[in-house]
Amino acid sequence: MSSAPPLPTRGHESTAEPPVPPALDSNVVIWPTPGGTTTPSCEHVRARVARELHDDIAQRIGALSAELGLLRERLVDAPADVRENVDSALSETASIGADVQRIARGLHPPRLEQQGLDAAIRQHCEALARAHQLAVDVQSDDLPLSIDRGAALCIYRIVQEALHNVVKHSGADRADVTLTATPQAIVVRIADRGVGFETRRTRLDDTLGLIGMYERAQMARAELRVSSSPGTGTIVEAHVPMRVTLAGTS
Amino acid sequence: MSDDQRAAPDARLRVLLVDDHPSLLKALTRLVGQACDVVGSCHTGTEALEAAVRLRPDVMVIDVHLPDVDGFDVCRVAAATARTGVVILTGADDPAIARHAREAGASAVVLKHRLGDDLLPAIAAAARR
Repeated sequence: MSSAPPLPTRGHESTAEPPVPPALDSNVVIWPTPGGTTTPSCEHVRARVARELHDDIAQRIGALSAELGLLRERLVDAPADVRENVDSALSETASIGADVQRIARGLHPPRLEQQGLDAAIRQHCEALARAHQLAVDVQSDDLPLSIDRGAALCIYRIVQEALHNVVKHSGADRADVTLTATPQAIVVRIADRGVGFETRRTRLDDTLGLIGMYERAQMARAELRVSSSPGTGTIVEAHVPMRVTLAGTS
Repeated sequence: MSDDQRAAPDARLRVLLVDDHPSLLKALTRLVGQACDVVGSCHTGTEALEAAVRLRPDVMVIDVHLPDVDGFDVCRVAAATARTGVVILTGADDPAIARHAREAGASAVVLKHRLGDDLLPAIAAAARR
């Protein structure tokens, strides 16, 4: 009996295993950059969805709020329970609108392109401070006037994910974000004095926040260091090259 | 425009509306028209500047993001030359936008998802400035 011919393969790209992130085997882990290439094309999808949310959905929610406001004006003599229903609908509309704005901003920060990296990071930190009572001090010294878009996006995402981890895991009530520049790279450092963690017992693929930062760093050819131990807090530091190619853009 | 062309104390306020989203502009017109006279509605900053000078509204309600020019720039000109009270509309609850709006001479910033609650009081407050 002859065996069936092998199924045709689709080449190296489809059969290649995704890179396996290293285990953390000391209290400091350094990821040099194995053949990093681009920031993910999903960034473009995220940007498009964010634009749709802001340019259309948020405007229609605004229109709905205005229509409900008009209804309330017209129901000024209506029974109290009817007016309460309208008030409740207005309140829910405002809540949905705020959530849509928060989601859109998380998908793609408009300020990153409008006003630059420093302003976008400060806005994110202010929002975190309001939402989670986390005080974040941002220091940015001697940054270039113009930062490459891909590098800025990589840095922003690393800060976003690191601070998310601070909120979710550290128990700290403050964090420090520092941005500095060298001739070759922008260095971003996020530090907290929270509970920390035992890096020797942590695998990156068990820890979504870390794997996300690892992928960001790898794609941008950045060097990422995470140092932590129980009781001493955590420091995330990334050295991001001055130029990072964005997939799908010229 | 002479002062007697402005709204008398007991008259309905004359309001100019500026937003590039058609559904939102229509809803704004209906809401504001319930309490004020809507003297014009525009989709661009250029149209808004021309209308602000020509119509001299008591209050202009304008989106911060317009297709041609920045809503803050229109606000700055309208507040300075037409002595019009300005209410800025934005989707983002962002302290920086509030700061820019104040610097541009706006009377208030209203979040779009809170239009039904906040817009008419903001227009009244802008007219009193």
